Amino acid sequence: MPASTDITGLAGIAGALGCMVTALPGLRELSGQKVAWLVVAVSVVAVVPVAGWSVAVGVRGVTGDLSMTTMVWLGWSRWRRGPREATMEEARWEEGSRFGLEILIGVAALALYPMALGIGRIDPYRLGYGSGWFLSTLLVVALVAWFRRAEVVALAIALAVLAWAGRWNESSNLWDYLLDPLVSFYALGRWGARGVRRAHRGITRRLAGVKR
Amino acid sequence: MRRLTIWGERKGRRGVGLGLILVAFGAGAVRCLREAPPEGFRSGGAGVTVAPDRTVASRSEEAARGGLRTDFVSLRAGVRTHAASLVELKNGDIRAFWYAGTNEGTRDVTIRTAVLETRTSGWGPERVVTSRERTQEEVWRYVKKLGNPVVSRAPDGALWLFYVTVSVGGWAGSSITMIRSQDDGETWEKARRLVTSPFLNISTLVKGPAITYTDGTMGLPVHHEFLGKFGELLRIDAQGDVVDKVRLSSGREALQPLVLVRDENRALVLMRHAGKARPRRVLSTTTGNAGRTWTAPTGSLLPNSDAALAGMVLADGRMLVALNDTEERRERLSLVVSSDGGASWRTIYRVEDQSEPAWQGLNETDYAAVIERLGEKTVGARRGASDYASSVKRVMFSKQGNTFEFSYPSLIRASGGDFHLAYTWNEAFIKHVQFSQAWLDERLQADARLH
Repeated sequence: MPASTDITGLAGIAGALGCMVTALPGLRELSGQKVAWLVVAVSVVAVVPVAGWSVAVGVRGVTGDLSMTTMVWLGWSRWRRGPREATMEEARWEEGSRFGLEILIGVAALALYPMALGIGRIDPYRLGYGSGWFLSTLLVVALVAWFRRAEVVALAIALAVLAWAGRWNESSNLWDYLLDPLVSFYALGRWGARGVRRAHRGITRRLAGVKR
Repeated sequence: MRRLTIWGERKGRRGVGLGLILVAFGAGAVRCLREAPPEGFRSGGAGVTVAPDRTVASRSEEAARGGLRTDFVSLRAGVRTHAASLVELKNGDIRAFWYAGTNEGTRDVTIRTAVLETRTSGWGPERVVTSRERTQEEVWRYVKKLGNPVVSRAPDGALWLFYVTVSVGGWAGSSITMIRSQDDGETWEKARRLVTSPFLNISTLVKGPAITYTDGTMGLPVHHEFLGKFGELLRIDAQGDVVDKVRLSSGREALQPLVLVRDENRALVLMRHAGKARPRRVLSTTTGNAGRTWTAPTGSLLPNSDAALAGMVLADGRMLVALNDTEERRERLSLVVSSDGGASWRTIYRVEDQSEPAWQGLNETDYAAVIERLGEKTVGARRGASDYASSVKRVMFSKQGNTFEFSYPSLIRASGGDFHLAYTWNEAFIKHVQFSQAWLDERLQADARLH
């Protein structure tokens, strides 16, 4: 019988795999209910052992447990309203929230990973072992995000803190509930994509100006 | 009306969200308050200095009469055998752990154990404690290979065995897995993985034994070797959760810290030199506030060939360390002593020494003859000496030619007063050396070389 943290860890991986499958081309436009069924189906397939082995166990060996931020982001990406359903105000709000989350994740990842792995003398990972200052800072960030209507940011932080307090995953470090390498690479990749798009737009405008 | 309803719904949703934030941080604050820092070290960590038990003093007397007693702990021939770790059992016996397999890092590597029985003064049969497959099943994740085991006794009396597991890549991709035994190593609870690093939990390895704190938590010295090579001290609670950690060094030159606790507040950490700088010296750092802060590491006077150390603080405050006190290779293993808190060291005994030029560049026949002689010297004629030669030739010749290696020591003092040293013998066997306090006193009084 697996420990409770193994069950939550494997469930997180399986759910994430389900959400990722529904993001594949051709499946993106499915209705909310169909998406839910597909996520459940893929998750079940991911945890069912074949010859004593399951996809979720294999993936977990490499990735470890996923953070609450990843789970919130994946869930939100799947079940937010599509562009055709959302009003312009809602679409703008969603884009703002997504951008805020990307910025926060990217900054946190750049601050955490290099230093925690040995670049420099300071280890920010240590703050995750119950530092009152770290928790207070996160509370301020969550409240600011909430009052600026970046609810997804606030929700991701609050759920991460709640899961850490309840020992949801096998890690006892709050950072592991806030961040994981997958969501960090994704956020940084989107930073890069935005940068490339902006640079491309600038070059195109400049070339158009030269032509005139 | 509809706009009012939507406004009301949004307001209600936002109220629930704000409530969630406050509940989450309230729960987080409660957890923060529970994680109090430890008050101090419990001296005599590192598996040593327990109250002497006179019921097993006969072996101590025997060792004193005979000087050193030596034997091989492991029996399997033709396999690569490495990284011994010793602990005293509640009945006075000594249990050793190590890993062995076709080669370092192969999938058939298992963690193995054997017991030195007080009654018979001989090592019992070796058996498997855990394997890659068993660990994989118990931690519910893919495991590629196993590495160093380190045993420590927890304040509650249980044996905790920490060992290195790798899921991706080489040793830089390591994490630490832990199993516990309530019956001195006869049976083990399910394995659990320690999460010690935010990036895929990679790059934490273990070699030195744990120390204990006055609040009942344990301090496990570990090291990283991915982007940096540096030491850390993990604090682990009675449930096996990591509750804090502190860096012992930074940069790319220190591995495998050994913590020598001097009293409730003071400790010296010695670390393997893995940097490019020369001369190669054991790196040391100290604390005067029970590990809350550590001094910047400096090179000690002890030479080091990028190899692990073992040691302890003796009852009179002196420090006894076993190490390869050479700057290159691991052909010499020595016992050194410091009487001034690690400022200076004296070599008191060469446990093994094949570092002289006469032992270099031997042809295969001469090499086999030397190994046979060393094997016979260890155990007498109890076993065919050619067994040792063929095993050693298999692992050492494939690795680096006809060289010798005596490395990765583990050193403890049993309650009967005897000292037990185990180490990798030419990567083919684990060798055990037992000596008494009287033998040690004699060596301490003799002339010895000052580092």
